[in-house]
Amino acid sequence: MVKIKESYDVIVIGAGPAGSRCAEIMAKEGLDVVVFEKRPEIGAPKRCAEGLGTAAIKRLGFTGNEKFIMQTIDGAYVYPPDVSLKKSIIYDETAGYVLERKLFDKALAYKAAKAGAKFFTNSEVLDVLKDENGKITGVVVLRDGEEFEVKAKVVVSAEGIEAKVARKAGINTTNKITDVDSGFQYEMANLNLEDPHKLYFYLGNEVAPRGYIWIFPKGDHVANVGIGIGGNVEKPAKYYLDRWIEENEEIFGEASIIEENAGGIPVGGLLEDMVLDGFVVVGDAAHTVNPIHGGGMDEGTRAGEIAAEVIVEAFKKGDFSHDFLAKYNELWWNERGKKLKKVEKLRMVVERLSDEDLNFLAREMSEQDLIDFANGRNHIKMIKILMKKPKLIKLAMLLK
Amino acid sequence: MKNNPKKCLSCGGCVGICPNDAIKLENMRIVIDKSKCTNCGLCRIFCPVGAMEKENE
Repeated sequence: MVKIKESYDVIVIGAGPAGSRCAEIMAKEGLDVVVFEKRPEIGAPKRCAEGLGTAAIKRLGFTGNEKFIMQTIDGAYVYPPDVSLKKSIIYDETAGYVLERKLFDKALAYKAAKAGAKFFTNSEVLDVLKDENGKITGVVVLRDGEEFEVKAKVVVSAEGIEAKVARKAGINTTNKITDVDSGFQYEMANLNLEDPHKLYFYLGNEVAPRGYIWIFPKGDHVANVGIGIGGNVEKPAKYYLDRWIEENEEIFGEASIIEENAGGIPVGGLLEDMVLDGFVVVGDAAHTVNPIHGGGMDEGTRAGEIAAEVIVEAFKKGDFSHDFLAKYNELWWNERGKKLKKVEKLRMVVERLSDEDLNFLAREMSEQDLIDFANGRNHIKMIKILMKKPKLIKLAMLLK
Repeated sequence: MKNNPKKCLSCGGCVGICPNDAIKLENMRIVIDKSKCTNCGLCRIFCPVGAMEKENE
C-alpha cells in the first residue's frame, strides 16, 4: 500500500481539484491510476479565494452539505472606483459557496481513492521518461529521498501554475507576464461585513491595477481578503492590499490575520494543443482558468473530466498517440475554450480602462450584464456600451 | 536573481513565469538555477510579496 508500483495505466501529477477529479473518473472506469502530490498535505497551502458555484459542486458529485462548505453565498457586491456606483447582484437562493480547500481537496482525493486511484503525498515528479520515438512512457518520482522510474501509458500533468514537468515533456506552459495575475490574500477574522453571505469585489486602477480586490466570507466574521493585479505591475500585490486594508477601517479595524497566501493566476494564454504522445495537461498548468475572475476550480475540474473521458477511450482503442489524445483539445475547445477566449478578450478590454471609464461602464451596465460578461455571454451589449464613448470605440473593436 | 526566504510564501508563481525555466520549488523552498537565470527580473516584477531581488541589489 505504501510502495509505488513499477507501472500503472495512468500517472497524474498533482492532487489539486483538476488532478483528483481526473483520477476519480479514470479509476471509476477501471483504469489503474496513481496520483503523485509533491506537498506533504493535499489542499495546503491554498492559492485560492475558495469560491465555487452551486452548479460546479453538483457536477463534482457533492450536495452542498459537506464539511468543506464554510459559507453559503447568495450574491455579490461589485464596487467600481466610484463606490457609490456599487452593483448589487442578489439571488433568492444559494448561488455558491466559500470552501475550506484543506477539506475540499481532500474530499476530492478521498472520492478518487474510493474509486480505486492510489495517492502518494510528498512525492515529487522530477521528469518524464520517453522512448526512442519521443513518446512519454512514465515519470521519475522522488519519494523518501529515493528516485523511482514509474511507467504508464499516459501521464497527466495537473501540476498547477509551476507546470515544470509539462515543460520538460515539451509543452510550452510558461506564463507570459501579461497573461498572469499576481495574487496575494489574507484569511482574516473579526471582520465587520455588511452581509456575510455576499462576495465583495473592488475594481479600479488605484485599488488593484489590472485586477481587483475581493472579500470572500468564510463565516459571519471570517473571510479571505485578497487581491489579484497584473503580473507586470511593478509594486507587489501585497503592497496594494495592505494599503487598501489600512484605508478601510470600518471593515478591518478590529480584524486579525489568520493565514497568508500568494499565487500566480493564469488569466490568459490558453493552449491550442494540450497533448503529446502519452501526455495530457489540465487545469492551471494548461491555463484553463476564467480570465476575468481568475477562478480555476470549476474550469480545472471540467478540463480534468474531459481529459479523463478521452484517456478512457484511448485505453479502449489502445491508442495513446498525440493524434488520438488531441480529441481532448477538440472537446475542451468546443465546450470551454471558445467561451474562455471571449472572456479573455473582455479582460484585455477591461484592463485598458481608466477609472473614469470603469465608472462610466458601471452607470451603463445592469447587474445581469455583469453576470453575462463574466461568463462570456452578450458581448454585443458590451460593444454597444463601449461605442457610446468615442475614445472606447477602438476597444469595442477588440471584442468583435 | 535571488530569493528572500523570509518574505517568500513559496507559492510557485515565479516558477510558472520564468522564461528560462531557472526556478523550481523544492521542499517548499524556491531554488534558482544560477546557470539558467539571466537576471531579467520578471520574477521580481511578478512576485506578489516582493521576495525576489536582483543579484547586485
